[in-house]
Amino acid sequence: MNERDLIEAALFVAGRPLTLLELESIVSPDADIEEIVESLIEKYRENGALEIVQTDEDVVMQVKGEYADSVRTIAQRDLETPVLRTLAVIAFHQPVTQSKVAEIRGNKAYGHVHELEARKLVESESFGRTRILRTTKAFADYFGFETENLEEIKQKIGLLLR
Amino acid sequence: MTGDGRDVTTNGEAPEDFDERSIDILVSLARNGEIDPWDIDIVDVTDKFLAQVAEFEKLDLRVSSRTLLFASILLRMKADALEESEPQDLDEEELLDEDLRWSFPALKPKVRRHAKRRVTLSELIQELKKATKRKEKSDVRRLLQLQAQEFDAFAVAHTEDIERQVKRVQRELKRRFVKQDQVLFSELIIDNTAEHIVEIYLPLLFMATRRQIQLEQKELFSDILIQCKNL
Repeated sequence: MNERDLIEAALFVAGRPLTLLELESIVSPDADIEEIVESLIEKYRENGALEIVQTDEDVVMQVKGEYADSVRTIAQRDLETPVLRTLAVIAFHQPVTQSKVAEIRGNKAYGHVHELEARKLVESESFGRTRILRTTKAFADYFGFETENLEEIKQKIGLLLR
Repeated sequence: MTGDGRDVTTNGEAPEDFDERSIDILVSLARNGEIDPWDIDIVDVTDKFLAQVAEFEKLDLRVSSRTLLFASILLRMKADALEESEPQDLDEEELLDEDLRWSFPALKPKVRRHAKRRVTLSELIQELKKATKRKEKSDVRRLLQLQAQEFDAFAVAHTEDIERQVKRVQRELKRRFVKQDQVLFSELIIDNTAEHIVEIYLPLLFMATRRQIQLEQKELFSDILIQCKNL
């Protein structure tokens, strides 16, 4: 079995960045993974809508930037719409009580908060009978905010909201 | 149970006697060359065994079943010997898997990508706009409902003069209580419309609260009995 094809298949099926260690685990021990990845990057560079990108530790197969916007709506989001809407409310009003979020979004918001906490996009702390919610560093990384300062994030969202 | 603790059957024989009898029959069939111990045919053995039992004129199902059992054990031993291997303890599922392996080609489903993409900041903002709009709509709806309720309450209070109606019903009751001890609600109803019924019923409730009369209804939806207390 061709090892370059094997790496290509792994990058395709993973749908997420893979570490070099992960890629090494599926090829023979004497394979030069760096060389294989470099060869794959070259293969995709000129033709097709896909590209392979390598960062310090990760390698990912993704849609080239010029095609991304056109196909974005077809690709399934990793956050469901109601959960995303609750996250948006938290991000804009933070630090905000869970009861306030439930008042805006309805009782299902409690389940959404639970899911967002599990995804580490939101964190909470007890505040009397309710909880205070705020976004996390993972949230800032996810949406590409250069800061994790809550006020700055709120300001940026407020500007985009206009 | 016998005196020495052995189980006995209905005809007085112990179970071991059945075993011995069954084995005896099989051994004698083999010795006479009627069956081949290395080529057991259960049907044939059973037929021959039954023929022998018939000769004994003591047909006993317990003996015949044991002979069948021994014949099947012999057959199993023969099969194991032919395989020249230890019998494996395979459970039913393993046996089924084994069968399927030989019956169908192995299925190898294709691996497809089930990747989900990240949400963009622009989508987050869009959802925030929708959440805000929905909240505003729900606030407006709630406000309108509240205003409508307040309007209804004021409308009732302004258009109805309860005290005047109470006095009117009081006068009618006083007039009737002169002649009778108790009055039926239906006696006060002249017009059978809902509005008129409420016009009479509501003053009665006020008067009952003020302990001027006592209302009693024996059964649900039956007529209401009105008695004078302090009118």
